[in-house]
Amino acid sequence: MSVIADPIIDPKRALRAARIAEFKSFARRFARNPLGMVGLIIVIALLVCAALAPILATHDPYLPALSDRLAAPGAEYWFGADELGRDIYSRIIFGSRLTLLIVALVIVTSAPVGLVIGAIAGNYGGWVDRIFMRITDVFLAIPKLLLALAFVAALGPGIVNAALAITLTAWPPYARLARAEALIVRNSDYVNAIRLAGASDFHIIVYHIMPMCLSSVIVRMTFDMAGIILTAAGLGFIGLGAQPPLPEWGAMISTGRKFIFDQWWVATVPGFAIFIVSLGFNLLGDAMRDLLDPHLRQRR
Amino acid sequence: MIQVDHLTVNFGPSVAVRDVSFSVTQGESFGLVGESGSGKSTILRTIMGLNPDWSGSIKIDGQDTKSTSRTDLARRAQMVFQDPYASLHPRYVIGQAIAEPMRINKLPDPEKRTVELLDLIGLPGQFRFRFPHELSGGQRQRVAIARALALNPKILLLDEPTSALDVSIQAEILNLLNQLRRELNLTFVIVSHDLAVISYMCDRLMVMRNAEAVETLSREQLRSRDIAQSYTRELIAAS
Repeated sequence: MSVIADPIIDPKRALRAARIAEFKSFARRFARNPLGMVGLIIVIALLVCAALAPILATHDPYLPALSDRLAAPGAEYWFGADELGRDIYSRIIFGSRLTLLIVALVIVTSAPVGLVIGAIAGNYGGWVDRIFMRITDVFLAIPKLLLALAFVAALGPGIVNAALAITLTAWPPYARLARAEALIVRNSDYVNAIRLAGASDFHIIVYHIMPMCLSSVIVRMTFDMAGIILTAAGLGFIGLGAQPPLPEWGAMISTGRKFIFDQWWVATVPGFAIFIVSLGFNLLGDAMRDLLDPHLRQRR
Repeated sequence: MIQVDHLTVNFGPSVAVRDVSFSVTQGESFGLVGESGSGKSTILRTIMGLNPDWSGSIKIDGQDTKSTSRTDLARRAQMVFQDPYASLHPRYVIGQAIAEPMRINKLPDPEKRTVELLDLIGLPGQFRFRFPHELSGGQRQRVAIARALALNPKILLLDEPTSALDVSIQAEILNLLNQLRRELNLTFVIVSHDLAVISYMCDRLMVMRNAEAVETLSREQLRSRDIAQSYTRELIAAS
């Protein structure tokens, strides 16, 4: 305690100390969940792979070596080589960048859109709520992959278009979630109190309702990442996502399909990568939900 | 100070308050008492503009609340809520919660005034950096009172200010409120189902039942049992 500066003299530091203490207690509770830690380690490993791809890779992921076509896993090619003799291990490592890029693009665009729409709908209620939520329902009613397919087909294949297409189908659940939270929060006494102090609707939505929706949204986000990876891989598999020669995992499975009986590693290794990463995000999401979900968490 | 005339509040088809009138003078402490569902909290919320569907007239400081802006109203009257566990934002440290009304209304020097307010309600300045879940119920209610006082209102509306608290803490909060009323020359309207609280705190009280006012008594009338209505007698006998 003696380390903490006198809060009267240094309010900024004391405030930071209070926030850090809060975060530490969160981290401690998280560490108690072993499966959550496994998920976190997988996700961190993915981040490390993406960040250090040039160092971790043993070969150039784009350089064909036709003499080593479809080489079996061994000392030279750890996970084997594909039909152009490219090292599958290096392609998986570089592919993690594409996976993360798509996930990040989708999350950065869909979660805030959903959060804002949901918070506004929940805060105002009435006809604003009705209009926003019916629009949301329309998007929810269309099958995810189908809408993404149609969108990519219209805009042309590619990573950014695939991400946009997934976004189009990914935001409605966030809006639903945020609205449900906002409906509870807007009638709570602390929002009433600040409304009585003369706060504008904008102030209430941004500083009071949205922070309370955030934990549900973060939980949903972590779960969604697994789904986004699968959808992106699906689009890659049918040739509407990342285009060759990009080492996107779904596209890699697609090319490996031709050799699945004789050279199983070409399709299996990227499939395994997708499986591990999705599992990691799911485990992480589970652990986050246990800690953050306001409906599971008892009042402290 | 507060003038309520023929107030009727509807919640959809049902009537929560029917044709209630009363007035509170400057510096007075006025009590609203009655069983739950009798409409007493609804009156407070309606005065503060939290219920949209009402008729009649409410004047605060001589000004009609319907034509007064919310920020203007905020500086005249503030409210303290019943449940101190629900009335503080769980993600805000205490200092932020108290300073926020001042920031919204662009009052000068909110940091300094937050410390002064904490001192006023009897909490040390370090509490500014605690989260609500680190505080006891009584401490939270003190913080809620400090937040209500942040804009220097002349009127404080108290909605069952002690009913969510331990009996031992109740007296502390009530004494604090009485002391604040003397020091800051405040006008109180207190809602409670507890006649003991009302008779301790209030100069005058109004008894309510089934959305209607039964009668208005002074503290002396209550003490000397000078009561006209049988329902009021029952209420006193029950407490």
